[in-house]
Amino acid sequence: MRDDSRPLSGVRIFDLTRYLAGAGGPRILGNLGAEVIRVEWPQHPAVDLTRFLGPFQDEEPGMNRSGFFAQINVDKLSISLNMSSPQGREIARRLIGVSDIVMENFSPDVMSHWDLDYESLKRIKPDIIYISQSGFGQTGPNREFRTYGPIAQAYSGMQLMTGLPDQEPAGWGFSILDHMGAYYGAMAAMMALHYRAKTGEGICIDLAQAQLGCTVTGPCLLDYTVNGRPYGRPGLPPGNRSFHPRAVPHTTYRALGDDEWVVIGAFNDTQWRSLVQGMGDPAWAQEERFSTLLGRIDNEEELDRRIGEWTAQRERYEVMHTLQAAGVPAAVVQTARDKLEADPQLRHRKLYTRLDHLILGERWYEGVPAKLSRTPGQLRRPSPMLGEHDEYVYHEILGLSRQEIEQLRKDGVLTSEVATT
Amino acid sequence: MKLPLLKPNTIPCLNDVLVLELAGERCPIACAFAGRLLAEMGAVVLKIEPPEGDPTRRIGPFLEDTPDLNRSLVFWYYNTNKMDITLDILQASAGTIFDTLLAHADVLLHALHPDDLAKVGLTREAIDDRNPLLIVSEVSPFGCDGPYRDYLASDVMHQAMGGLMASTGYHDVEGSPPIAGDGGQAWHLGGQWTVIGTLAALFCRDQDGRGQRVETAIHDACSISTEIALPTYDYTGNLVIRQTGREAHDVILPPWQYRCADGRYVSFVPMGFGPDRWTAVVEWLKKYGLEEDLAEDRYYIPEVLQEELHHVCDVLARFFATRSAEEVSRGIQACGLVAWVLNAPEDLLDDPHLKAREFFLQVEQPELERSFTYPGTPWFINGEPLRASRRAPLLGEHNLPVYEALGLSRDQIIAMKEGGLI
Repeated sequence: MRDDSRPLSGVRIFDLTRYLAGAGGPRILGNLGAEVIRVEWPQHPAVDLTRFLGPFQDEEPGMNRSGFFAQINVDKLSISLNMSSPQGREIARRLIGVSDIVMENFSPDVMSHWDLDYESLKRIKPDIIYISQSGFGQTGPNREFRTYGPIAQAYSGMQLMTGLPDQEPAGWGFSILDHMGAYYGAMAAMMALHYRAKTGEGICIDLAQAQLGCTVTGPCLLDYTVNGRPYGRPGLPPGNRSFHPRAVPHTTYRALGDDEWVVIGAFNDTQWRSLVQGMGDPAWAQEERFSTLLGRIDNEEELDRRIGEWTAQRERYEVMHTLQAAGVPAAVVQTARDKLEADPQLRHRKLYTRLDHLILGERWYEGVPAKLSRTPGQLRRPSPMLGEHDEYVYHEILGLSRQEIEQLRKDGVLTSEVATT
Repeated sequence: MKLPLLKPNTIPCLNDVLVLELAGERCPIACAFAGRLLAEMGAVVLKIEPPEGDPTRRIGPFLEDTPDLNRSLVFWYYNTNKMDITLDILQASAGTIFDTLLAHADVLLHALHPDDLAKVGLTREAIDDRNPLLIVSEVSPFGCDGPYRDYLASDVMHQAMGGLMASTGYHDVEGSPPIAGDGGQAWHLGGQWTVIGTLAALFCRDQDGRGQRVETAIHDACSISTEIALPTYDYTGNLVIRQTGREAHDVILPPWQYRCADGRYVSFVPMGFGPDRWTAVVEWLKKYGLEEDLAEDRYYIPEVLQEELHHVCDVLARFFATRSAEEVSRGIQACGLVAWVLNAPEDLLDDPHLKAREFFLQVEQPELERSFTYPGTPWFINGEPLRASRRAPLLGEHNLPVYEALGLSRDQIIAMKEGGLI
């Protein structure tokens, strides 16, 4: 039944994805109103290991106690279904027959081994939309290699591009390519929905995470293919400096307190003069050598030292607000706590939503950065318990009787119990 | 009156969609990246630049290090597969032309400041009243209203505000700051979410026949992309600690990054050691006599291995330092575990896997009589990669055909050019 307040209302997704790169995409589609039926099984190797990654409720691990899993799987239904059983796969086929989209991120041969590849599913539902995600794609010499976010980041160049120029790479402190994988998964599903709305046809999309990394390393790749200039050279990665455009000053500065930082930059002489004013017109800043970009480049180290002396005595938000008010780009290095508790803009945008979960209680959940005016969508349901929606999906959507469902439990096709603690 | 639109050499999902792109001044890269993605999905993207050109045309690196409005590699990278006209939309005379173009468009993709939007008559109310089919998709640094509406930020500053930097950096480099990754990732996150919102509005219109406004903030897109940082704080009250070559956690983890004999690094997350894989690792080290105490039986007990993981990784680090990065990476993979060499972006050009996937494209620049290698797209559609890409447009490249299609004569077009309107 269509709910006019959400853009993807009426769309049903058969969700076989796991972890963040896979499961994050259907989550977004769920936030936007799609009905996402997440297929799960409580035992290895089928279980989504994210359910066992911390932090945990009361520091106690458990299938339904992971805060990380909860964040990734908002707005989804969960069914238990044993995909190793032929009966289970038959039920999967029936559910796919009444779904719009199948999303999966198994190793490349798993779905065809189950006769659930695109060609097989087209025979059940000719306009099925089929989104596969994997580390390296369904084809090619690396197809069998698994990846984690950091591995795909290493492969594509993103890890090497993160750090100080004279140190080993710092690498990204989180799996940015897992997040991006989720975002492209959601994009793939929606561009396919438009294609189907226009043509009546389904489509098969093979999304490769490592390849995705190679599309976002930026213009430095062209600097090599066009100018012959490699990234692997002294002076790179730039740390927090701005080389393109060349802006000086531009870097991190310590603020008052322990490990508190701001980023300040001046992209033209006007912003430089505003920065000087914002710092109270100190005598040192009046020197001729700082008044031009070329002069500031030549004296960058001393400039940074001087600015750092000013910021070190000031509270970081005071620095940001003072400078921004003067038209100078400046930012606080914010933590998770800052974003939740000290960021009035995120509060204004209502980016975080509170949802109540049976086991986890009331928690903060990350919302949707793209706000649609007419059909905004909003986070509605917290992450599901494993198998929580067996009754609803098997009885109401598929039309199985309660006896049939009970028999499937006895046969080990569905799970016998839903953990509630 | 029909606009002479170039059909893109791209996969057809969105090939019935016309996007007008106005990238503005505050976050032109995020907007252009969103436009590039839509073009790669098959949309016709008509970029409208001010007569003096998009600001990114002035940002290097440049072809042969020669600054020129048509030689910026930043502009090239973010504007493939687009058409291009110039128009000073803030001039009153531009009004009719802009309105006519809007009437043809499915999507207005823009990053204009609210004040400029108001000047061209595109307040929220006006948008809602005018063309009911039009989707107006806006990307802004922090949002189109709110206390930080007018805040200026570079990519690094977005990574600071969004929490990415707090998770990224070194734990063992005295005094080192939080680090922003290079490459423009905050712009990319903002652009990706702009596309997500645009596609959602497009499908919604497919269902109910009506457009709407989409407002995406780069700050929001960054803020939700920090993995466990928020849950860690919400559940434990702890902040994650940035640490060298590994993900941030509230404790210091064993290393995930190893320096090899050739000075290159390997990324290896030390997990997933089942008994078979552990045996393979130990046998590998034993070949070189560098296993130290790892051959002891107790390491087969999972709890012990976990308990002693820092020590195990120290032993591995000493071993990896004696072998080349390629050898280490292959050796770890041969044990059934997951690892890769830290490549520079240019290292991928010879990669056999990407060659087999036909990932890189030759993009022609006929006016230079050259072609260059560009990255393709992250996906195959119906088994096919993107097979061709058009270079980024020259400034105002399609002025003549587009304005003539709008019914303007050559004289009128010349007058507009001389008057600084285009």
